[in-house]
Amino acid sequence: MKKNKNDRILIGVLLIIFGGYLLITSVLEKKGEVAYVKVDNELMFSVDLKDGTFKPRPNEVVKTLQEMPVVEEDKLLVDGVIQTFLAFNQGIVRYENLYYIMGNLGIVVIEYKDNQIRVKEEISPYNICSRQGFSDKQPIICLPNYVTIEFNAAETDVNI
Amino acid sequence: MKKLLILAMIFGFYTQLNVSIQAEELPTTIKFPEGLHDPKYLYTPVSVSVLEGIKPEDKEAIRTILIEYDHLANNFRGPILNHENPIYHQNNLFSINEQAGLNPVVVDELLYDMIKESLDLYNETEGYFNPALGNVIDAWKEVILSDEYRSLEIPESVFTETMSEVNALKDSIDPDKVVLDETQKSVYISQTGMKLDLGAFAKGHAAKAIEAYLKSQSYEHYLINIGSSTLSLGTLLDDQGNDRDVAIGLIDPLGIYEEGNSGTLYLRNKSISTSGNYLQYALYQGKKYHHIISPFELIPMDYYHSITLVGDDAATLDGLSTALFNMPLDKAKEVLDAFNIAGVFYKIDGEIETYNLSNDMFVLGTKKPVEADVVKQTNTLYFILGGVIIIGGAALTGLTLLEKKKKGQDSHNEEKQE
Repeated sequence: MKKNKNDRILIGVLLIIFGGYLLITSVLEKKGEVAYVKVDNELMFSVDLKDGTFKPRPNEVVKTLQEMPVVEEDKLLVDGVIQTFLAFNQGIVRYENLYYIMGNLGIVVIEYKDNQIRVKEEISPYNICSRQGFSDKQPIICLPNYVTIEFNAAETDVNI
Repeated sequence: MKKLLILAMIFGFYTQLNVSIQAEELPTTIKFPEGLHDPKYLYTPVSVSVLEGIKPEDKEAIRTILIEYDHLANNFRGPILNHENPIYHQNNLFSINEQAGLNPVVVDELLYDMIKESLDLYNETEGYFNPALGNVIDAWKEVILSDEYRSLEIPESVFTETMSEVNALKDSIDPDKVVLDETQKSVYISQTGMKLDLGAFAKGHAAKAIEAYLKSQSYEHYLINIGSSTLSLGTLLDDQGNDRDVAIGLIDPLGIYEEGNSGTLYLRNKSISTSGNYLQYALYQGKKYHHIISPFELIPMDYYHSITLVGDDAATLDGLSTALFNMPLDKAKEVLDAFNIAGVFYKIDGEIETYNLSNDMFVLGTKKPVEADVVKQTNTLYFILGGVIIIGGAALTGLTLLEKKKKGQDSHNEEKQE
């Protein structure tokens, strides 16, 4: 009888440990820490998902705006003036946590918000990557625009 | 201090930044084009990393190699006679094509050898690598890479027109019509309307030439990347300063693997070349028309999304990765055996098959669950299940302990009564 009781305690403790393990693994799902935005398979800039810190690649032209620009397909307008220095895989326009770059088919708008990142707007036949919404783990791939967003890509030396 | 320096170098390499640690230290990575408005060589970005450090004279030697291949293999524009760099004054592939059916053209030995090798590879691959497809490729690229149709649907009229244009070229794609003169170093296309194209060969040659230069300077820790399609590697260094493999992530064109890579190659002292259908293509009636054209069907084949080949000679690998794209897998494997080359095939159904690769060289990526939502749902399920099990376990333990205590008190009372 006494043995039975100890067994029950043991089973109880084991259940608590097992349940705790399930809880912890489901909460601590692996998340990306940095979003790497690539154009034509080449890193253009990165955004730290912890605090939204923006880091462009060396020699990249970055223009920071004080007011939100207007997107018209392959044109970016500020106060009705077309921004000419954006070209495919060249130049970044930044307004707060929005980033405007030129993809293959037109302007791609990338937004950082609450430790996640998404493609907010893009010109493509099916809008697959903007419909994917916010992500911090699954890569966002805009094939028609040659734009991809990957997370924690540092485990390889080079990607081909 | 030395150890620190090596660590800093590795760090710089990892982040692919041009870290100049101190003013007198050498950069470990150089990129072409260097700035936004600098020239692009071979129509693609090039990066060369050397952990030993790149001296200014190394950079210029690498630049010269790139300029040579960029100019000599170019079939869209001829010599630029007023260019400050005399390399641009030489006859190039455009000059040869321009004189098709007219005259032999004397060219630089480097171009002569490249054309000779391309004709050898034509014979060795039973025609699957065909350097005389220039006009067919141009006809397709005009549609595939046009602003109107790139990545989009081709209208029926345009498609029919391109098909008839391409079929009319069927009799002017025979590389045997190229006449070489070894003593003169001249190349003559004996048939009018034929055009040589070394687009599938020049990047590999450039990588091979840069590697030969780096080896001549006794560098061992390097990574040459021509347009993310051809790589030549030495070794890299780990945190302890020991030689280690280079980790190469392979693209996942269908986006069905975790972490964005379909797999990772771990290699040292090898060259790699990859071809894919995912960047340059247009659609017609649900079929992808990409930039790699079969020399037999004169249309693109759809056996694979990408092919990655591993071997020792970057030039051969570059040519073969294009040739194998047009072959079914069985035939491709025969060619790999003949050339002693290994390969990773990302097949059209998204499955990956490796050939001649040992297990320690390749780690396959993990496939995503079919729906991303399923992950979230199972996670929530695990969370709830975990909670329920904890409560159950706690209740069981708590009740048993309580019972034990109660029993203990009872027996104590009983003892007292006695």
